[in-house]
Amino acid sequence: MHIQYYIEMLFIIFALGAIVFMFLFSIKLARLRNGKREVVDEKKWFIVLVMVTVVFNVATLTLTPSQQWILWSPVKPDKVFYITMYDYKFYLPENPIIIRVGEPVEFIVTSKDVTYGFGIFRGDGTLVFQIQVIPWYNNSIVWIFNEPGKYTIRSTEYSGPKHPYMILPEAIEVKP
Amino acid sequence: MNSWLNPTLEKLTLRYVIVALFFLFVVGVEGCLMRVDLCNIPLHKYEEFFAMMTAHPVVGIYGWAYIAVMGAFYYLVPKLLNRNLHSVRLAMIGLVIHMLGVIVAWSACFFLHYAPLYTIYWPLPVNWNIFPPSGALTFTLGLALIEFSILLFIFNIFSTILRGSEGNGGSIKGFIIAAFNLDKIASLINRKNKFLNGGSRPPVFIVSVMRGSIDAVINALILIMAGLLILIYSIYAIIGVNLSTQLINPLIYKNVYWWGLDMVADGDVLIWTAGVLYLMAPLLANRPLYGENIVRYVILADLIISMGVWSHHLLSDTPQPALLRLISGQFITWGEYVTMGLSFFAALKTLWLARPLKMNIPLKFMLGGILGFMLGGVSGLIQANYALNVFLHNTQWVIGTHAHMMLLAGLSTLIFAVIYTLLPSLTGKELISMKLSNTHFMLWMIGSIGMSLSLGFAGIAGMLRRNLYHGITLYIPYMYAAIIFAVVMALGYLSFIINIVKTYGIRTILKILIF
Repeated sequence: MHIQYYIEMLFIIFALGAIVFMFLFSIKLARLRNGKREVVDEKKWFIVLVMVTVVFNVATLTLTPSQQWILWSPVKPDKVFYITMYDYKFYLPENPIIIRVGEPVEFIVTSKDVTYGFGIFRGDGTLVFQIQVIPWYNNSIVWIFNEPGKYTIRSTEYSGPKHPYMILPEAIEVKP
Repeated sequence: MNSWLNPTLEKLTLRYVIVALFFLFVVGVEGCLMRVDLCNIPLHKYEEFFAMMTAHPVVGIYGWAYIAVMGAFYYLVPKLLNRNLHSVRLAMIGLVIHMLGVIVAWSACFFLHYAPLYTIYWPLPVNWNIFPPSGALTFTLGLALIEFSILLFIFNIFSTILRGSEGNGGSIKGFIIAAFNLDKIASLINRKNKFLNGGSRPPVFIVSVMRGSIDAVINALILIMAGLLILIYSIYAIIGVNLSTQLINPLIYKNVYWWGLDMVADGDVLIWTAGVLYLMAPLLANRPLYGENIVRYVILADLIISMGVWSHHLLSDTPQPALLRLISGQFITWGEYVTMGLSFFAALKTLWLARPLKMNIPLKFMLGGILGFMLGGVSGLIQANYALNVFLHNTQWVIGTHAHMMLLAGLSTLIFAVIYTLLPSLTGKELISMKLSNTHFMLWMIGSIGMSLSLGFAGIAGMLRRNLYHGITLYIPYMYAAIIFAVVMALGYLSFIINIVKTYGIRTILKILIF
């Protein structure tokens, strides 16, 4: 299962929890106080907020698979692909770009005119990753593909009305 | 003496509210039209679609939200401080300039198809191969008028607050010290501190308005600077000289631009919202705000935090230093979670301690608004993450589950809470139909949350924002769901308008605007 679906599931659980909480809260607001001592004060709540902050940040930075090679132990790429974007077109070193499952590859993308985006999508339309392409800079990312198949490249940043045409179906082939 | 330019405070606020509600209607129509295109029913050419997308946030943020908030603050600030507004005439002139600015910026998109989007990433706004320089000129003129009117508003509000601050420590300095508890902080560091505050402390709502206004000024100045840059390039283009776009570094430009633009989202939306909660909760609970002392520190902390969070918009920009993305983009952004978490806690606990409370319409909208902010805020934290942004940036998740959730389910719902609270004192008459008010609440909440989630889940499935997918059917079910929920929300809005018209009558509304 792709990481986005874990995000979606966790968010649905949170959203349902928040809706139920607000619903119950509003029902209880209309009832008389029961005389019990209020146990949650702002100091305890502050500690809860800080704990959630720490847990979420540590969990996402350590458990997200791509952070292993992006943040914690950067890998030397086996292949480097230089891609240029100019006048609403992609210029690839080869088409399709051939990659093997499990090999680290680096994409270095440059734009000669405006800001674009560089995103790779699976056949089912889900996003593998994306980066922004700032003009006149080397915009790079190292990636390890773990599923064989044909992937689509699409510009992920609006660059003018021709932006929707910036798509290269099956421009990457990942072989087992 | 009262005149059109010098109305009563009540009439002034009502005019702001009527104009804001008109722009909410316009932005809703725009949103629905764009959604039809995204359902693969091509109503517009690409350049028309993206021009509409450029106009959409200008009308939504500056036309609806800013005008509604300014109108409410023009009434609430003087009432709370028990003094006159510095200048009603200036407030009225500001409304005219602001409206004109929104209409001019909108016209640049509608008539001249100027479509660099609100992000205006360099050098797209000055790409004369696709946009006419006249479009850029008109758009920047519109933005300049809007920002000028915002500066007038800040001047008017600050003049009202700071005039007569003699009762709060003897000077403006004393007032600011009292507002943010600076005397208490100083006494913790040095017991013989010279910042002793002799007077009473201003209400936290006023402190929030002041603190949010600082962000609004920074935002206005940065947008004026960006507008000037585009203006210079467009004037040169009109006289036949093409300036090199490489004179400006796009990454530095993007950093400065987002630092300023983010002041609207992470400064004004959050802290002005918090301020409204600090006001509404005690008002509805009829008791002082819980933890008011802590809240003053929260407002001060949020002022510092909001200056350092801009990099969460550049998490996918790999030339941006990684440390800056991690610290500013992710860690400092979580500071807002803590400050807003404490603000919501203060508001909810104030209500909790006052129970039993009658669940009236303003209270329903206030609780609905808090729910909207909770959902939109958490989804924002998920994307403002060094590890996860690579999977979410520029997808419909960002604009749906975060931005539209914050703006429609959060901010707009809270604005309605304020409107429902103020209407009886502004007009001397309660709204006629409780049934229509309840219908408005239910449909608005279901519609805004449902639409935002539909867009967000399309983003999870890989659908980008700022794009069109003609001929591609992958994301169509999400878009159908989004448009159905948008219609539900529109019906909620319609219930509110019918209630207003039934209560006051069209003639009264026109009289308020014209005489």
